[in-house]
Amino acid sequence: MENKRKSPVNLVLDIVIVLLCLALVGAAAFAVSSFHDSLGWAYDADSFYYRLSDGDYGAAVEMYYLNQTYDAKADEELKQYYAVAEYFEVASFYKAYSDAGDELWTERYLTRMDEAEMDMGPLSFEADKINEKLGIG
Amino acid sequence: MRCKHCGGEISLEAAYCSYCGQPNEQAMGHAKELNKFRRAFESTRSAVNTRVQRFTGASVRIVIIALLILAIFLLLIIGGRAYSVRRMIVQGRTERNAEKVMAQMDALLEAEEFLAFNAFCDENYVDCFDNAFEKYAPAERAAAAFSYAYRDIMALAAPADYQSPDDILPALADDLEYFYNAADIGEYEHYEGADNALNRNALAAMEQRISLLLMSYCNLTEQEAAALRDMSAVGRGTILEEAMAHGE
Repeated sequence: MENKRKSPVNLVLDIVIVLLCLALVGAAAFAVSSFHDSLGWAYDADSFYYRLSDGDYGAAVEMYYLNQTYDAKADEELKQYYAVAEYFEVASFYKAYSDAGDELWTERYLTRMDEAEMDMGPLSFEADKINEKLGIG
Repeated sequence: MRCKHCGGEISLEAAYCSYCGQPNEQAMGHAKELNKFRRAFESTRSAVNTRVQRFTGASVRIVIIALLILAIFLLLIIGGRAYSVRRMIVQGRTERNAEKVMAQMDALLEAEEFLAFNAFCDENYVDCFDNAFEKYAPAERAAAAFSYAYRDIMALAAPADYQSPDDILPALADDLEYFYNAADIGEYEHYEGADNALNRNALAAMEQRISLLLMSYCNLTEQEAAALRDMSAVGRGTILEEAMAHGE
């Protein structure tokens, strides 16, 4: 029986192995999630929803371009949020050129605003909110 | 050996003489010695075995621990470099398709889609220190700065529920400093081919847009917007603050 008892050194080493196994699982999860983030990271429709709920249209534009940067695949709902972001961007320039009296660019942006509004689908009410926020009559 | 009683030939291990039946005293002593040595041998062997087992067990564990530590470090390094790995892959693709990428960049600059141009450069990890893309350095840097300034101006124009102009104005003053530096073509004299019509037009268009945005959303006059370029960051901050307060 005496011989079968584990030596204290081995016992300590076994505990260390168990702890390292747990650390290994954590490190593997970190590596997988880092690769997942670097390859397929993107803002989802919920992130856009919360930003728009706060009236943060500028952030929606940033998020839209970040998703473009990460080449994110967009479903129908996400495309509608993209259209809202695009509408805001285009509308912001529309007003600037309109105030400056540049008819060429005003007309170009107006066309794009109409296109973006059509792509918004059920979110088209956001167009009125954006116009109001930007002071577009 | 011979029996000391009858002189018969007997073996060393025989306990009794096979001829006269008398006990073999030498053999008994020998057997005792033999048993003593056997016990000592068994005890030594057992001690050696125990030590060897212990040593082997610890060695195996130490090797496992070393391998685990190595694996953990490798995973942490790989995980930490995930973005670099992606960057390397995409940059390689961009370099292989340089002509196509540059055609798309030209199209975006000509259409004055500066936010999209900036996103496209980020998406493709366009490296303006690379010879192929060196000539795009002014447009690429100015577009990045333009996107920051645009974000700040729009945060002032259409603030979110949690945004305050007091926080945004200093950021805008800093970002305008960055933008006006990036939009100065003179900053790129060491970049081969950077001083070209496409860049000059793009930088001028970006500056014009920033001015128009500042006039529309920050209440600056045309003169004030034009003067911002040559002001210090502090001067810009003051002008913007006054204009915003005047607008309210």
